[in-house]
Amino acid sequence: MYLSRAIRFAVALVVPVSFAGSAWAQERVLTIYTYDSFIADWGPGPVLTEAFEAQCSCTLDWVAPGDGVAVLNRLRFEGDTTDADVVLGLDTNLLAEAQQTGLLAPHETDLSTLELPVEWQDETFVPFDYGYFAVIYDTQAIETPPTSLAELVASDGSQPLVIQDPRTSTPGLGFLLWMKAVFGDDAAERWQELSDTILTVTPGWSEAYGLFTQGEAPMVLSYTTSPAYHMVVEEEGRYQAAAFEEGHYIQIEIAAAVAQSGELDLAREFLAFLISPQAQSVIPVTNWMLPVAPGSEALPEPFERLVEPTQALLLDPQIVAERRGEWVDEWLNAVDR
Amino acid sequence: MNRALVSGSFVLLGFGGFTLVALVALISAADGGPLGLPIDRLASPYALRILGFTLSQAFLSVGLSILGAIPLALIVIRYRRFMGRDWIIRLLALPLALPPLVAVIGLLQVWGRSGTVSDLLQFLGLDMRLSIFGMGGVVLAHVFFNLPLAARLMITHLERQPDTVFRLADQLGLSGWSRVRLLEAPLLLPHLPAVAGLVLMLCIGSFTIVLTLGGGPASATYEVAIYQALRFDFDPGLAAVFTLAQLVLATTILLVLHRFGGAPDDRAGTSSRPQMGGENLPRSVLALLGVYGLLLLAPLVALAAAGVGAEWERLVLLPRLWSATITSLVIAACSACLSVTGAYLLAVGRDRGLAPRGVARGLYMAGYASVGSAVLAIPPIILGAGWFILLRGAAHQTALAAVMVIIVNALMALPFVLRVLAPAHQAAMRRYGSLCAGLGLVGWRRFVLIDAPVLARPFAAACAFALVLSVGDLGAAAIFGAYDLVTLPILILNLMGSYRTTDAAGVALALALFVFALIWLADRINRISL
Repeated sequence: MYLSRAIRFAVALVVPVSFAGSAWAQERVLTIYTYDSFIADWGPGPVLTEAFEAQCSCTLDWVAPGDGVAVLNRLRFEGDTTDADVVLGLDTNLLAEAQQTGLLAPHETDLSTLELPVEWQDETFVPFDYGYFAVIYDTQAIETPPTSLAELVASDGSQPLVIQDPRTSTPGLGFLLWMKAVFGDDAAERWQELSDTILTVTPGWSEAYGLFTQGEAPMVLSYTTSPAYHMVVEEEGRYQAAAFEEGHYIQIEIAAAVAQSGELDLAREFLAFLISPQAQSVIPVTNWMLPVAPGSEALPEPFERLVEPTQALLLDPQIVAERRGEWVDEWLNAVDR
Repeated sequence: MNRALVSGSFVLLGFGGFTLVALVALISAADGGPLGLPIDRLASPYALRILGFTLSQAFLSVGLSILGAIPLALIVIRYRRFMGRDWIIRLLALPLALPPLVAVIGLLQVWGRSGTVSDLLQFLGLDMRLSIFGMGGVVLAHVFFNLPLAARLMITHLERQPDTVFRLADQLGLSGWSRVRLLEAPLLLPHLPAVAGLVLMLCIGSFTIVLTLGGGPASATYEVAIYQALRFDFDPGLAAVFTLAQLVLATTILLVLHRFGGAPDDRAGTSSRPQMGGENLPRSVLALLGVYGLLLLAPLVALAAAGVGAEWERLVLLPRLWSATITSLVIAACSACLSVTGAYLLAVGRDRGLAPRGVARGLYMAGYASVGSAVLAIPPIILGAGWFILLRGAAHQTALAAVMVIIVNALMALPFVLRVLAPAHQAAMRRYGSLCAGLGLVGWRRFVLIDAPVLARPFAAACAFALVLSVGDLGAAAIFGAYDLVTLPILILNLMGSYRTTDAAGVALALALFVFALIWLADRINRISL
């Protein structure tokens, strides 16, 4: 009767997890919605949990509905019924839509320590890390990488590039906006030129990066910090970012407190903790992004060697929210093969 | 109305209701309500392009899968005693259990720009590299997934045919083309539409393969549009419209196929037939098996080779790996149980509960056909989103998520499970039906005394099939995103999503071995499993 055992086992597996929250009812619980890799064993989640729980006498309860978009959608679906006290892991491209839900509270956090390449004055969202989109290339296949977006667009396609779909992935949308920020009204034409160089358009970052590290394509769209992972963890300098003259599009990851949270003070305490030196020295080496404020410890040496863009490109989140659909359609028509 | 019909209908209502409620919830969450659904969007150039691409890739994929599967099925049926025959049959079940992304990577290691075949061409001094991105890659991947499935379904079907037919053919000395023309074709042809229908469903609902290997946004299916509408545009109404479009498309094609084929005849048979061939295969057959090996086995070998290179001594210590394995097993076991029970009750309702004609039978059979095939045209993400809307704010989200995932997986495995169990049940009915009627055996007692022992092997086979499908499933488990609900495929994606490609390859190999062990176990129990 292994099946009945399995069912009993399933119940035993599921029930304690769901009651774990109520057992600790005496202690304050802060529920945080985030994307899954943030709380993976190797992500920032476990380390941040330990550090914050030590200072707050509370318990952190993480919920990961998927990626950043899934976090926002979970919040929209739940509306007033949401359990979240904090949402963490949205980015600048989702900022306007998150704001429109009307569910988020002002952060009331001192942001004077921030060292972002762009001005940050938002009253709802606290940035916790950032990155630049970049074309990562395989030094064993390419000796002279393109030095500008224009050069990449004009290349003959002998060295193909894998990008992500702007309809289903954050980096994909980032690249679409990068093209828009650099080429403006000519973006559609440039997309047409670029389409011989694009090997394929994958649904998400993982598929694209998998194709790249497998040697299927010598270039992939990722972040300037991707080489840091390979250099720090794998001690491998094979994959490097190409610096582009026009500047690189920036992605800033943000967190916010939920207005109707019963633990609003605790939520704000957590937001302040995110930009504390302690957290800022952990996040870059676990989430592979750049710190937004000084950390308590120096970052590993390879971080010194990353491409530093001459200019950080960022379109107004409001405009992105309004015109994203139109731009995606423009892209669809341009690269339709 | 009798008990068999009631229980069968109950299952129909349960599974059908589960699906309908999700769709209704989604539609009611739409901005304009049910009347304001953006139906006109289906006529947009984008949607029409999707329709065109979906149809062309699905028909190509189905055609090639079926055509390619026929010779393989015939080899396995004609030659019954060559080395490795059992392993071929077992391997046929493996591709379907792999997460699509894992299979794509295996395929590219063989057929990609820097894959084995391209390297061989370079070695031979030909300066060319294959590029399979586009329709070619999509169809190749679908054939890799579905040719084995089609072959297995055909083999199962042929093995169920009465011995006498084959004996007679042997006595008449039928071989070669005359054997095909007079024996195999008439047996196989009526069965093809049913197989094609199942394969077609899987191709229409393809997502990862179409996007990753498609080469660009021109290659998209409704599934892509549904995903986009739900996630990026946050437009439940539009997602519902595309879902309905996919459902209508799938159902139409199924009905057309049904006209051609009707239900396959399920005659009782055994597999204890005399051997026709000896142990030495003719060269032509060996060559053909070599081609199949390159197509189906090479990507699996490439995956295994990549997985062996992972740092196993570190991997086995990952607590996540073990909890993911256990979670996968428990979810798969529960799904399989639900799926097999449901399929059994459906078959009981069909074979025992009805007058041969009438409105009730028509209704029941329509429902039976829907959950037996068309259900595959509904994306798991839609079921999840619909139920999510209904259950938001409920307590114990993780427990609910687990239950949802189990139901969705059971539903998605049902068409496959039905194709194993239903014919076996019908055969058992023919043999023992009047005996049971004479003894007045009904319901639970009949199940314990007759069906359970007689159908033990098909039950085991169906169970293994459902297990395999749920273990490899990603769709359902990914929706609810309860952190505690990490299955093996999700773990693979998480690892790939944070640069850990070699770890991911290791876990993928572990998953493949795990699934293979399940298949082997099922095969030991049942020599003619699907």
